Amino acid sequence: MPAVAQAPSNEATRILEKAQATILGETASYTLRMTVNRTGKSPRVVTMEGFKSGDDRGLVRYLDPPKEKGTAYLRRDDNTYIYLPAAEKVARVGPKQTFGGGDFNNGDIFRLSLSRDYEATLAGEETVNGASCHVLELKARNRGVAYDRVRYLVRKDGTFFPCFAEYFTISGKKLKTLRSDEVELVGGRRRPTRMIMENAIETGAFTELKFLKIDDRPKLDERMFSPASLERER
Amino acid sequence: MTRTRNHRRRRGAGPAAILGLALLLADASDAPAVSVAAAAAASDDYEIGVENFLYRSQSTLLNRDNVFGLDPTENLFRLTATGRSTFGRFAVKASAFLEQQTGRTDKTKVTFRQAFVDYRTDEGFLLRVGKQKTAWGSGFAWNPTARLEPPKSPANPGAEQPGIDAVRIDVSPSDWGSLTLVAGRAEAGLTDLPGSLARETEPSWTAAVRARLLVRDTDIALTYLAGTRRPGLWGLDLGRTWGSVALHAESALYRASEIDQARPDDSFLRVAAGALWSPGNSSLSLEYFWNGEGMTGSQYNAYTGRLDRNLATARDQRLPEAARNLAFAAWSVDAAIPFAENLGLRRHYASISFTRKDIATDLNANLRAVSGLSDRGLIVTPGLAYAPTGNVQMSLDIVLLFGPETAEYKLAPIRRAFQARLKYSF
Repeated sequence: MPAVAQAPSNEATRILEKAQATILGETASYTLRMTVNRTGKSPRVVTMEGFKSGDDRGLVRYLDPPKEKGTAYLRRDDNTYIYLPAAEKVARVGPKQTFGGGDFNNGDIFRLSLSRDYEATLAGEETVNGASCHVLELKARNRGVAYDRVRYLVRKDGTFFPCFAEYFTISGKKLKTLRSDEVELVGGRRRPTRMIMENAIETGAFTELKFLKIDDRPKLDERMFSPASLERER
Repeated sequence: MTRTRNHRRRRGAGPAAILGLALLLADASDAPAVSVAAAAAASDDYEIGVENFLYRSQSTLLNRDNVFGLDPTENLFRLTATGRSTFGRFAVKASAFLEQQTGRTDKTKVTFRQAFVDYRTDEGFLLRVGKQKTAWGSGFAWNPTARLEPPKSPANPGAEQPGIDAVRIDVSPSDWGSLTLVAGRAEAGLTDLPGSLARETEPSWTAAVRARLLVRDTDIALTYLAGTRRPGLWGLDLGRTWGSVALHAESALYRASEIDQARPDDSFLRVAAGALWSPGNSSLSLEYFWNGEGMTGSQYNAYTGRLDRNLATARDQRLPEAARNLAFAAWSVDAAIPFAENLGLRRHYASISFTRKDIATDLNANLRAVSGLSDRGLIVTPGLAYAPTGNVQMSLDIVLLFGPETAEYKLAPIRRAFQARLKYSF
């Protein structure tokens, strides 16, 4: 669906910022279940706990299955690290690495400020599952981010819930499609609790993230968002 | 030198005592309220497993006429167990294996890889006492700054390393910097070859301090390390992301050669630099290692020539016994060098590693290759990892050696190795 190009607008950025804040607060702790689906294979389910502080810091640690328990991802500013219990080592990784072997990548999970990484432009309206939505065209501010262009749809009913997104390469090739739904009361407020990232290149491949618990006001020690704290995991 | 497995010649001191201390400390802890940071680290994990390492031995420059007395097939069978439990601010971890070696010698022994007690606070303080690993450094195949414990094998970096008896203190005064102090006792003469002749020495004490900083998106780690057999080592470790590639450079400047004991006052530099690119379900890493004290071609030829001469002298029945013993002692010292604490005999090395997840249902494939660029020696390690359920992991690796017979990697008295592992986590 081609968009009518417009200049980046404050209104588009405001909508984008509001949409991002609907799922997790400025600071949050949460429990997440990730299900990776591949054609002809049994779904792979991973349960993890996560912590977020502002737009720059995130930590996710696997709780289950036992063979992967202890694996941890840390995002701090533009730096991403992984701790692998089997190797007992912390390694710096790139933002485009697949997160946990699914269809989300590290940038999707930890790049918590789309408005900072992308220039937002209002590009019309569309209806998704009966809900009228703003269409935002997001253009990468630099090549270090996970996608060159994103088409991001946000509900117009005052909730600002994100409901649909498409991710493209610089050549316009669609890579993935994201759907957000299952609005539920979690952590004291209603919000979308399920995100499904569908791989546009690999037929039948998609990954579901389901928030099981969310606390928007945890007391977090900022030192937990450091590679040194990951090193002490072992 | 090929190192395809690791074991200690003597058991680490006092794992039972450490566990006993842990229980006492656990009783003393008063179940404090657990913060988010503490809760994040709190977990109980247990794992049991089976490992089997099968080696095909061969006569080589080092193992002339099978002087090591190896059987054509040497085998190690291990039952492994690992457990970690938390008790409030305390945690206990123990990892051990029961090993039966068949081949040159048939023997059974128990080895603790790790056995330590942790005490940590919410303010970023950690005290760890017992047998433990430090595993410092950003290098993949080579870690020139991680010299508290025996170096890992570049041919098989996935092999589980043994720890050393040590006390470690971590302090994190801020979220951008931390300080680690470690003092420990390591045994030199460790070897991972079946029945090889390791240099028999007393355990050496080493202490180290390491400051880790994150400055302008660059990881910086400064290390100083010194001990009873190590006059001093300065380490600098850098890591940074460039686009979608993670870069690293780990370097060490130290005094006293690890290869040539007759050079105790010379200084040397080692640098390992590389990159990791991990798009999607694949990852590719490259690394180059410069070993500043490595031998030149002529020095290496002199070294292997000396091995030959001394062994021939030691076996010459026409010579007096005293002369033969002297020659054998000299040969033993030289033969132990590849298995001692050095990171390689030559100057230039490179490694490449490729991993592809999900090549089939629950099946990952990986391929590692390490090359001694100075002599064109090559070790290739293809492997498969299969995880059919959430509890079970299996892996199979094959270690293959290529290159000229004079290459450093072909000094090792083995030519092929098969490593199979099965783990059950709960």
